[in-house]
Amino acid sequence: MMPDPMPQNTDALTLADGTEITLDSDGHLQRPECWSPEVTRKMAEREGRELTPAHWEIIELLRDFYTRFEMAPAMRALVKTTRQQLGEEKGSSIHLMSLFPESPARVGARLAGLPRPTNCL
Amino acid sequence: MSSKSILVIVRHPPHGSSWVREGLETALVGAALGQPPTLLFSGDGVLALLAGQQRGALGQKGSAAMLEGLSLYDIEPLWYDRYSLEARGLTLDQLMSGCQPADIAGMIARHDVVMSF
Amino acid sequence: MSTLHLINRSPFAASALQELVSAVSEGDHVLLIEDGVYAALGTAASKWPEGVEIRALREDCVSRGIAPASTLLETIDVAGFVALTASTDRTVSWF
Repeated sequence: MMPDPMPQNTDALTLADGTEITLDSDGHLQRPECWSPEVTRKMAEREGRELTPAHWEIIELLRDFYTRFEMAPAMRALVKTTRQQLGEEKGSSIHLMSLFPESPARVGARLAGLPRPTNCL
Repeated sequence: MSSKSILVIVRHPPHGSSWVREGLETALVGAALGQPPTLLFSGDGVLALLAGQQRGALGQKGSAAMLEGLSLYDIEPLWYDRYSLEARGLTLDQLMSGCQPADIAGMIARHDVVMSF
Repeated sequence: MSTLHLINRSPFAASALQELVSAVSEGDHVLLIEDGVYAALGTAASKWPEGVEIRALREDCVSRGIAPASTLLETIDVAGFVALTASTDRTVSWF
């Protein structure tokens, strides 16, 4: 039997030009290379999140982390790398929790088009 | 939760198997739980520390990029067995930054739990 | 405080045994298991530092035709292996 090309439990985003972006059962991109800022905007819109420049700053930082280290950061590493790059005030759990209340590492990675953090339990 | 000191020893080379990545992921889980383990490279494991590694021929992820990020998880330094490095004709200046020589016997004796990869 | 080192690779196929020799401390125990018992055949066993107890797992010696009487080492059975695990502080696997 041929494998099902579109496994169940998947979901998709439709971009302005009609491109379908498929998501896995946890809402992460099935193909991370399909990411664009529009993908993040669509995800946020569906989840009822308003993205401010402060959010985008972290999303960019997450993508940069992934490019350098080939993994999405867990909370501890996210706080540390934010502190290194954006300073003490922003590099705090409080700031990150205020932007992505449920779980900054997990939600941030999803919105940034990255896989789940490697060691997110 | 009782806090035990954990030593992760990596003894396999990168790329040929997933042992290195599995060892690193184990170390990252320890760090996520607030117990960053000691990470030691011995035998062919020291080859994972070589500077200038790339992805595999088919674009597979190696382990070098992950290693560069471990200090952000408070997993540092990257300890290595000096004799394993010498046996392979290598020197410290050929390794990525953050590596330090270790006394393997003493390091084992100082930890509560040792996990090998 | 002592460590039980388990080694399951033949000394003729892998360098694990050589590495292990430099990683033991006085008071440690080494148990040769599976293909590791082939180290009981030859000279590999004579290089150990003082104060380290080397044994081979009897069942693995027997299955490979290395009769306990012909080895240079003491052998222990699986029950002895379990007891050794319980009496040491930590276990390290060399594979």
